Amino acid sequence: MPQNLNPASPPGSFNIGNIVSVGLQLYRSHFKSYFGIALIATLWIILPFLLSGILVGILLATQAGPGWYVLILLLAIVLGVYCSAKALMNTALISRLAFGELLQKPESVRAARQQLNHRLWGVFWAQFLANLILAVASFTLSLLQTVIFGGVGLLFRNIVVLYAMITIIGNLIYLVVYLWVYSRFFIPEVPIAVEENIGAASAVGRSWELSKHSSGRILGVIGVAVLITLPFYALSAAPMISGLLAIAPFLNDPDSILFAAPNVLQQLAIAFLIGFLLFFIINLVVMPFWQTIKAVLYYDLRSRLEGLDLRLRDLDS
Amino acid sequence: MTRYFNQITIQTPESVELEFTLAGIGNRALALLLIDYPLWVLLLVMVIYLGSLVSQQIVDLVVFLGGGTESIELWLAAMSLLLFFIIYVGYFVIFETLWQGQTPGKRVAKIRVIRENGQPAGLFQATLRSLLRPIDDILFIGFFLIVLTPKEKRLGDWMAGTLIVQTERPVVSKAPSISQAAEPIAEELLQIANLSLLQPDDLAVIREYLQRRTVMAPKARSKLSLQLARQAKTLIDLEHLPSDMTPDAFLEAVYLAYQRLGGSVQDRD
Repeated sequence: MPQNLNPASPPGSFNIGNIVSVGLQLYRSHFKSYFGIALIATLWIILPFLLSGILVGILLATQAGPGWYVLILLLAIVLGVYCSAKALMNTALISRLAFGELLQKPESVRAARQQLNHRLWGVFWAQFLANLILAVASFTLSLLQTVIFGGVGLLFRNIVVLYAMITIIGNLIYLVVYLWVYSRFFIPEVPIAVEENIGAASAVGRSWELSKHSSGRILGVIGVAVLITLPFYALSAAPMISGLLAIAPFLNDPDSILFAAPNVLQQLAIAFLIGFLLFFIINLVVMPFWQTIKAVLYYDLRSRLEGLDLRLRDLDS
Repeated sequence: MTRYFNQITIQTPESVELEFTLAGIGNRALALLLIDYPLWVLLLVMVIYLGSLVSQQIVDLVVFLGGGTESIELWLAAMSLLLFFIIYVGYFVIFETLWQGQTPGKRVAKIRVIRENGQPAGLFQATLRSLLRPIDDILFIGFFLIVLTPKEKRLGDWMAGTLIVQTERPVVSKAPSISQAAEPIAEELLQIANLSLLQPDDLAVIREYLQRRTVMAPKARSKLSLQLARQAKTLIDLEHLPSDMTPDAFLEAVYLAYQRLGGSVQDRD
């Protein structure tokens, strides 16, 4: 396996490590604009929660009837769908901009956004479809796992070692197959953001076709990227861990907390709040990194399969 | 695509300039976290397991011979600690020294350790890097240094005076396979087209296509070959094709004809 992990790459394509490095480099050199777009995407996600919260608050204050609550629920759903489409469009926008850089045909944020505004629902449905497929795959796999390995396991339930082994193998197969499916539907939003005249379904199809023979490399890229972002997430865990350490001495006798240090619990709550906020911010910072990686991956796959990097001089231009 | 990587030029005492592409965080993370650390943990677990088996035997033997267990257990503990340390540091030292700056992970990621003067890393450099590794790992100091500094050096690299670079891609100058049909077309092109208008860069693209076409998706490939053939036709100032042919045959013929022209084909891999 290790030999095949990083085969010699043709010039227009990258190996696993370089896909991640180039993604990071693209993000660093365009930090301001990509981070700004990520911020907008996040605001779109927060918006429906904020609005519904305010409306519910008003209803509570005016003691309105239950009919109003149903109305607000419906409104929240519609708003939620629209806002998530907006958020997804913004994440896809980062990939489109990064891909333009790779092609050496950079676009302004404004021009790219205009293009993507027309494809708002395309991006939404492509993501929806890809996630639906993943959910169905996950459900089917766990059903199969339960029926097949559960059944076989029952036959051997008296032999503990064998039973444990069958369960472990079942879980492993589930994991491997699911990861394989996941890698094949990893970049549906990039084709729809980049290519002209392409629908949601065919964008998902593009992700599937382009990733043929490459799922191992894609999973390698995802693995390396996850590991690289870990230090940042560790940062967000720090306040929570220190908070837990502070109450550790009292864990033997929970009642003593209130007795010994009444404000410890309050501090713990604050530590968790800070940790949660940090986690949220880190997610925001890391998101464009994933989108640039997807752009590099898309460029790499298209170079390999479609010779995207092979262009002759155009005398006309 | 080199513009996305940090480059470094090293001047040797003989005034030869060597250019290297630095490894980048992606390759280094791949090598260390996905391959070297798992391998290394596996090795440690195996050694600890074997060590506990052997020391149990030794203790049994000593008891059998009528000795006390206290001092022998102390000795064994000291020895296993030493062994642990040797593997902890030794994994990287041994591999980087014997494999010219590469560990198994670095081999997979196609990167290697070199000295700042371009020479391969030796025992001294490998040891310093390895001894500072724990400090680099604490609080991810090494990670942040690699990402944020232009020479991508973690503390161990600073101390040892080393760089991590991408190993050069082996030159694959495999000639593309050319079909029979291209031969006569090439001869004809030499007569009717001005192939000297073609630049080495253009030919490199055509050759690249001819080499890589077999792994391309059929639909994209036929689109690309048509586009390249049209562009090539304009480039060599050819009004009309001498006969009906596939874009692939035309591109093969252009490639053949250019070589017969005596144009030096430079390998650009």
